[in-house]
Amino acid sequence: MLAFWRDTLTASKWFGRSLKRGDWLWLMIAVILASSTVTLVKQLGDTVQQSMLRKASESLSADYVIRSSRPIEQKWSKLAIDEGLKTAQSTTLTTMALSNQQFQLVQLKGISDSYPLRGSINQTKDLAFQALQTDQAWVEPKLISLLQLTQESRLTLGYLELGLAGSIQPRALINPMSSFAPQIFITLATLNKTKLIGPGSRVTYELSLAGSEKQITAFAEKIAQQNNPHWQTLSAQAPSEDLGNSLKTAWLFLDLSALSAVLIAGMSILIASRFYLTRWESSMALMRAFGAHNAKMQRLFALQLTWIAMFSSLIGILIGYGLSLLLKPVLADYFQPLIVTPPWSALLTGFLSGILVLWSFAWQAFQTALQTSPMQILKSVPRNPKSIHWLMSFALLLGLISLMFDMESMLWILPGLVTISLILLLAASLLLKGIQKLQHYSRGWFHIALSNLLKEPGLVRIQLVSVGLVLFVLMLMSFVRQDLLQNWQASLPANTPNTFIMNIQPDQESQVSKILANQQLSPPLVPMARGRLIAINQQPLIASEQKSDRARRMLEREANIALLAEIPKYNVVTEEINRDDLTLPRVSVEASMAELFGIQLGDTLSFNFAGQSYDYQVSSLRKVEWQSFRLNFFLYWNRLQSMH
Amino acid sequence: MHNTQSPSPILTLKNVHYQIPLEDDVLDILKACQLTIQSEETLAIVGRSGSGKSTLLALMAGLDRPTSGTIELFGKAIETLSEDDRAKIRAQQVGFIFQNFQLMPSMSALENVLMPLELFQVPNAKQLALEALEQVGLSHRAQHRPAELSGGEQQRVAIARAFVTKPKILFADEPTGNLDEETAKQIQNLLFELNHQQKTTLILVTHDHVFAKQCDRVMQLEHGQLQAYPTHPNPLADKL
Repeated sequence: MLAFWRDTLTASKWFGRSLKRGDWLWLMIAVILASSTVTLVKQLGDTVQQSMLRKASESLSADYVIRSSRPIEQKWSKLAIDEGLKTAQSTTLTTMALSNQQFQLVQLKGISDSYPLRGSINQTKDLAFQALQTDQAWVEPKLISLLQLTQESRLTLGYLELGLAGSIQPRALINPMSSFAPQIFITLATLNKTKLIGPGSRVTYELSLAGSEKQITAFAEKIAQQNNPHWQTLSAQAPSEDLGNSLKTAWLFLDLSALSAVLIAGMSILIASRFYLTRWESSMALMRAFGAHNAKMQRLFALQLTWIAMFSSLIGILIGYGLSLLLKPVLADYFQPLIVTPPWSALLTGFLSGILVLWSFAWQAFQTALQTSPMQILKSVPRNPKSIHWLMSFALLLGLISLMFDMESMLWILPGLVTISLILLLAASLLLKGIQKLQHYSRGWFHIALSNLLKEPGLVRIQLVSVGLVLFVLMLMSFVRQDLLQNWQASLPANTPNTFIMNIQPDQESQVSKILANQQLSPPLVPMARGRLIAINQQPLIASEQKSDRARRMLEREANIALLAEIPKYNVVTEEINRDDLTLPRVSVEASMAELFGIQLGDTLSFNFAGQSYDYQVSSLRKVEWQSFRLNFFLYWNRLQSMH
Repeated sequence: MHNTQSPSPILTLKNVHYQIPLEDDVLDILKACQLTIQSEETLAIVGRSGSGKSTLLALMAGLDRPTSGTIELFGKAIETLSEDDRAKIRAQQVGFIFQNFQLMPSMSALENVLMPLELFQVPNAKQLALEALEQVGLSHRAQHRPAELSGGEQQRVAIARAFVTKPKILFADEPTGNLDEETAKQIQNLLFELNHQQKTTLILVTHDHVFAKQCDRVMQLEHGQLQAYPTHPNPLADKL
């Protein structure tokens, strides 16, 4: 133990001197690059994540929200009040607003007096503001410009004409796609008077709650026990599943960017450590000649490398954190409020990444140098690098990657990297064999160049694998990026519709068609029904029993089911059954949904429609290009058969 | 120069062979070498290039093991010892000087001399290193790197590094091989002077017969065999 401490002291002394001389400059730069990148990405990621979560909770205007497609019984509100919680109710639907002879799709929100429970109403100066009274509305500024509204304008919603009581900026919504319709706020009493809500209307009812964390947790447990299939609960502490998935993709992209930077830094370390290897070998040979035994050499050099890794990582994390502070104002433009997370987790990850990246890529050079014979001091002794060291390097690299990704991503990234590495290794070996053959026919400088390549085939292999891995990660990033942005945008065909009108009541159909015709537009108006899939072949489907999040989500909410005589031509029918074999009305099911629930042709699907159950038989399965932005549905009922 | 008889030999070679395996054969580098060296004796080994002088030096210093035969260094048969055990003997009793100086290019003269002391955590290392540099007349160049020193100065630093650990036996491989005649003479004088002061056993490998003759004894390595140097050699053969 004493020897260890003495060697630690010596190694520290030597490290201090070499630091002053700038001996390890290139290795240090590479480690600094890796650790600063990881720190920056992690800190930015954490900050953005927390800011988005805060934004999510603010958009809830409460600590906990029960959301339902059906009215929430009064007893729950009463129970919440009894437990000391504050409550607020809201009812939201998407409908058409009329003013100045112009129609506009709007999101109409009927609110109780206590709304919002968290945060406050953000008034804007576009209109004079006053408390919301019956037959009055607060409108989003966007709507003022769309409908050329003034203080005196009247707004028609359903059967009611409303005056304007002010303009308010709605709370930031997480999904920008959901905010395309400007919002209108009215009281719940006013909403009733509009008579917009009828059977089958797509309405969202919310009961919002606010209280202490303990009170909320206790109440949330009671709600969970109800296992109500119509309810969806939202908590300020936990993001919604959709938000979670979007965030995961974004983090994956950021993590892959960091990994590519780390691998590039690793490549630099690999090359730099070959340069240092010569120096290490002469130092080690000399020290061995002077009587240093193997364990001592290992200690002295491993400690020096560790000091380099730690020192450089320390600089790296400071740079990374400093850069994250510099980027704070930029993020603050996007996130209000910006929640800057404590940096400890990012600093620790960055620090460990720096150490691991150095050891991953310098391990082989270090181990080879340790084998230096003292005879090297007098004459050249051939080295015999062992392939086991490359394996250790790879294991350390995997350790580094596991530090950067969560377990879920690791499950596909790790096998992917191992497979790609093996393929690259095989390709590199074949390439070397080819070079070996080519060498026999080569002459002059080309022959010398090929001979140099063949001198250290192990190094050539690892360099090719490393470069290949970097390219693979970059390729992966481009796929993820595409997933994030481009795929969705680029796949939109020309003249893709970007506006959809929903909730057109049967008596409004002719009027809407007329308005559209005036604009030289003749889009199809598709009748829809709202129903919930409740059983397959009389076997009930319970949302809470589903293993897949997607399946659970699909059962928890009512689906829009199109009523069409025939399946649209842009849907590809993959399987179809002879209609004569069917005894029940037909339903066509989207292929991924069929796979999710194990639905086969001819199966009987039971739907709950406005409280009543109806059975349908699966007549076809079809593929749907969801990104086409055409009218697409998971389910089509045969229109004629479904008119009941 | 001195020729003190010691009761027990410091180094003994008995029937030492050293072979290098070739593809289908073996190459005999050393054949049946016999040698006994007493403490504080100075011995020069001469021979043509490629005659195996450096290999013999490495074997005697315990850097390598013979193919067969026995080498006893401080009474221990080194062919039976592990690399770590041989390293232990070298650490305690052996010093080296090399033809190409073997100084660490990024270290200063002082750091180079300090290196073997710090390797074994010798107390007052810096003081001892400065004194060693003083002895070779280079205390004013202590902070200079090898590239900033002349060949002679670099070898002086190497000599200071070799003597600073107070070894009992010093192996010098062509210590003046890379130096001009005048500098070589100065280095030879310095080497013998320090050797005399510290009462070290010196084993020297050289091409230079004049340098070799300053030792108590000269052996010649020819065709892998170690033999006594002729008492009246051809004067023209003094420089091989």
